[in-house]
Amino acid sequence: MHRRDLLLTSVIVLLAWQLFATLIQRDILPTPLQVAQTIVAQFGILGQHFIASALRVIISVIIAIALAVPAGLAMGQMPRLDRIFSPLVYIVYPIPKIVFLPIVLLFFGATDFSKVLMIVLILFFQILVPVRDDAAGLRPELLNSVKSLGAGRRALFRFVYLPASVPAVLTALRLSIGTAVAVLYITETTATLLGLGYYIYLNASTLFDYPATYAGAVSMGVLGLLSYFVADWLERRLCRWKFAT
Amino acid sequence: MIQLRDVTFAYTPGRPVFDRFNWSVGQGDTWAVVGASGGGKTTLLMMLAGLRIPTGGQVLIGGQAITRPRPRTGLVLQEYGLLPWATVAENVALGLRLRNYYGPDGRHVPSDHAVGPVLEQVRFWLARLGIEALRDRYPGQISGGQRQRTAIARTLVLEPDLLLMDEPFAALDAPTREDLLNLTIELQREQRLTLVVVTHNIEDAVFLGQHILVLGNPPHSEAHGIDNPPAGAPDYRSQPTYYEMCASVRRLMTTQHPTPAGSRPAG
Repeated sequence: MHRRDLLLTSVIVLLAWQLFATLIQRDILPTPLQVAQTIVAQFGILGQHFIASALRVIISVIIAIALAVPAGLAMGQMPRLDRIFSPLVYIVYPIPKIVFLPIVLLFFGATDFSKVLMIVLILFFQILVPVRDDAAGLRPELLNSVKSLGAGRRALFRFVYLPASVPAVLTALRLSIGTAVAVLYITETTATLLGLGYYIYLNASTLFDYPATYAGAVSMGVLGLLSYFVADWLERRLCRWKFAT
Repeated sequence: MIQLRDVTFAYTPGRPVFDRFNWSVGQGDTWAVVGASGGGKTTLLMMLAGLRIPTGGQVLIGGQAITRPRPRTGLVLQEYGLLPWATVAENVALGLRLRNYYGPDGRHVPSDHAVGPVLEQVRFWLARLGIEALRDRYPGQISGGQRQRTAIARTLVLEPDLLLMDEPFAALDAPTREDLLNLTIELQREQRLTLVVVTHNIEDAVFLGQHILVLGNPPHSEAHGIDNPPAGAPDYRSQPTYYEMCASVRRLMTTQHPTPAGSRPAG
């Protein structure tokens, strides 16, 4: 995607927003300019909430990768293990993980741990399944020829399975990070004092400060977009071979 | 160099592909193993490579029984043996990196292996196989012949004494195939390699193999070898003896072991 197209689209969205706000003339739809002023005025506070949310996303992504990649590779390499666990994955994978939120809150309270756990739950299955399938789909010719070069189990893991899983991980991240941020919002609306979700919810339902509500929403959008860009950028960097022509 | 002693191998019990099979390959010999698909050629090669273990008997290479891939044996497969995410140069360097990863443990790596400069050796073999200009390309970006050259360079950089090739030219067009056949012969002489090439192509087998092992329909219990001393001579392909040899190999392939009804093909 070209930067210019992105910029142009942003401008169009802002103009449309401005147009609607001017036409509707209601408090619940402030103009982009008002929102921008709020962002500038509340930059410090917003920044704190932004960082709190971003940290939760980053930590969740790291934990999800650290758990899902080894699990996926193990299941992809060992059919017996896969036979035991894949029915479980099959059942749990399509469940929208947000339904576990009340249960997670009951068990772990309104802690950071609960919020991170919710995102990890979503990302874990999104990463696990493609990593497992990619590992299982590696051609026997490839594995045999690397074995014949002297690779044992450890080296196969390091030189074949692990690099083979990189594209699946990054694609999964790119596709599911939006959902993760959405779930983060929901988790942050309950019993916390830090995070964009809290900021948005507080301003919308308690303080009735609509420009601030929108400022929070824009920040959350930026967080989602940034996460997406980072995943996209990593994919282009680490999987050059996929884009080479 | 290679000795098969009463080797038995079966994918399903009671239906052996090899049944007390004996065969031996001398040091520096060039053997072509020819036969129809499903006849057990690849199985034989995988046993030599230590990637399949016989259910009975022994495969000895250099006097040692093979129970796992042997560090001094090189293996080149038909296709897809290269890491798709690594460049040509990185693929060629893979074996050396694996050796540095394990160190000279005598199990994965020859115990006399000295950790050397990877780059220089890689550069030498890229140049020797004429793929220097492709060093930063990915396998998906180069032709089948170039991929096969990469696979050969990757194997030879490890200085093997035995080179095993499984249908190495099957996916290539005729001129590229001829090119690589000539190169293989050159390299075999240059590196004093013992060479075993598995192929379903009789012409390739006759051109390449100073000895030809014909595998008909399994189970195999006897090695039907043919001596083919002119193999590898540049003008052999235009000689009448070449065509005669091709004809007799073909005859041997079809007359040997008529297919028993309902016999199961085996890879």
